Amino acid sequence: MELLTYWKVIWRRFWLIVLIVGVIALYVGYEYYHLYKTPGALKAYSSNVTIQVGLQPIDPQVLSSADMVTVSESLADALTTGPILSSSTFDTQVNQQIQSDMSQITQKYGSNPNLGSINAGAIGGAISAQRAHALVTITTNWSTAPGAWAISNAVGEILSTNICTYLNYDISQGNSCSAANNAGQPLVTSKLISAASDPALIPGPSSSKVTLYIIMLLVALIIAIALAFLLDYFDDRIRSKDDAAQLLQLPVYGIVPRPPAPGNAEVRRGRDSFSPSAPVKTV
Amino acid sequence: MSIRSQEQVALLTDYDTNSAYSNAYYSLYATIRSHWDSEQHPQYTLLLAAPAAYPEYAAAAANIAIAAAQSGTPTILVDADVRTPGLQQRFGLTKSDGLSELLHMDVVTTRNIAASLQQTFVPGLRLLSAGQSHAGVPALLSTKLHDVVSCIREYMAQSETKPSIIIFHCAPVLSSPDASLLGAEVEQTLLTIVRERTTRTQAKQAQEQLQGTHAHLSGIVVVDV
Repeated sequence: MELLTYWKVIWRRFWLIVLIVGVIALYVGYEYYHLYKTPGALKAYSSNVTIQVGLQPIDPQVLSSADMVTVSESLADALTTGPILSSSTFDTQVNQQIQSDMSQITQKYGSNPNLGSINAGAIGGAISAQRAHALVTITTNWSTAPGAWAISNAVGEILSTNICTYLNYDISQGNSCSAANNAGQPLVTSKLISAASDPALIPGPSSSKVTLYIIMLLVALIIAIALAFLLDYFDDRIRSKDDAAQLLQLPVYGIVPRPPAPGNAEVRRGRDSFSPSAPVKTV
Repeated sequence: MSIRSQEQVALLTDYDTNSAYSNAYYSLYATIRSHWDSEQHPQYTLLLAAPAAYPEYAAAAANIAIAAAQSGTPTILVDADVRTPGLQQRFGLTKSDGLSELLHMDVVTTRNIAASLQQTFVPGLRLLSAGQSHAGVPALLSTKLHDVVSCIREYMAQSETKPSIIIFHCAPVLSSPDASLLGAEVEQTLLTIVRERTTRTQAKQAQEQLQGTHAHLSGIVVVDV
């Protein structure tokens, strides 16, 4: 019985609930539409490449093995935590490498691969790195599978061939990848441990917002229902005959329904049509 | 829907006698009749009052009067709402003297009553309209109403052999003291509560106001509009 009463309250203020939930739903719908239309916002593709950072072999009397391990790990750490991967020079080089790898990409993903909007600025934000000793795993999260793989592959190629451009044991003028410039010091080198992996589908950076939107809708519904009950509490209009009888402590003599609207079959055509001789009810 | 078109279909005679709307009024009149001891009160007086005005307010009293007349009870419907009279027009009658003129008379006689009554298109139902000279009427109600009501009763006693009923329609209880004054004069007062419109505060105030003047408030009529 109480449930029925609650339902009646909700039904009376249904317009309010629809209004509040509707407004929030419009906002949520608008935001979700934007996320849906933003590439990589709700779903993304991830591709990894792993390299080992180290030094070229050198006479153990110059640099012991332990020192070489320490230096390698320091260099790997510099690559992982430093600004190299997000630098514009590196990103530009990755972008150029992708252009060079286009035949390889088309071979893997068809003649017109959807790389997404690849540009130097976007690449830096899409890659991240983590290190285990001298092993550095670089992860690329991108809105399209071909793009993720292309960036990851290009990063692997650049770091495995030109890491000494970005990292070196000794700082010198000119091309630091040249042994002649290093005055007997070992060159930094790297080896591709695992090539760019096939892109895996992962949740996009904004995917958690979908849950937030659902929670917003539920909260709006709860607030709307609470508001409906609050308004009903402050509304002292008489709702039923029982309300009236209880309030005034008087018997209800009769309940008169709403008169039928003009045009209804129960409405006579006009006053003239009333005939005193027509059969009428007698009490 | 305009007020005009509402008025065109506001009376009970405008609806099928088997409609729920008509049945509700017949049933309401049956309840009124069951509370009426016709041996003790051969000329029964009834007031239908609402705490506040609502659309079709006047139709409720008119429809009870129609139901009473159609049930074979000689009926007089009195439009005591001198501030916003409307029953005369509702029954399609011409403007004529009515309650206002009776209140202005020094002495009211049954002859005056007979002259003021208008036969409606419903057999057995006569209307005492609010009249035309409304100036000063609210003040006269407190002094002359008792005489006029007594005279109407007397007229009914003289003109009808069967038990008869006089139904009063007046201004809303909370808008003027008229309902309270009338309530003290009649055998039975019914308070009209409009569902989803009348507030608890209005209903309670109206009840207190009527009971304050010793009106015999005997029941409620719940109306949907």
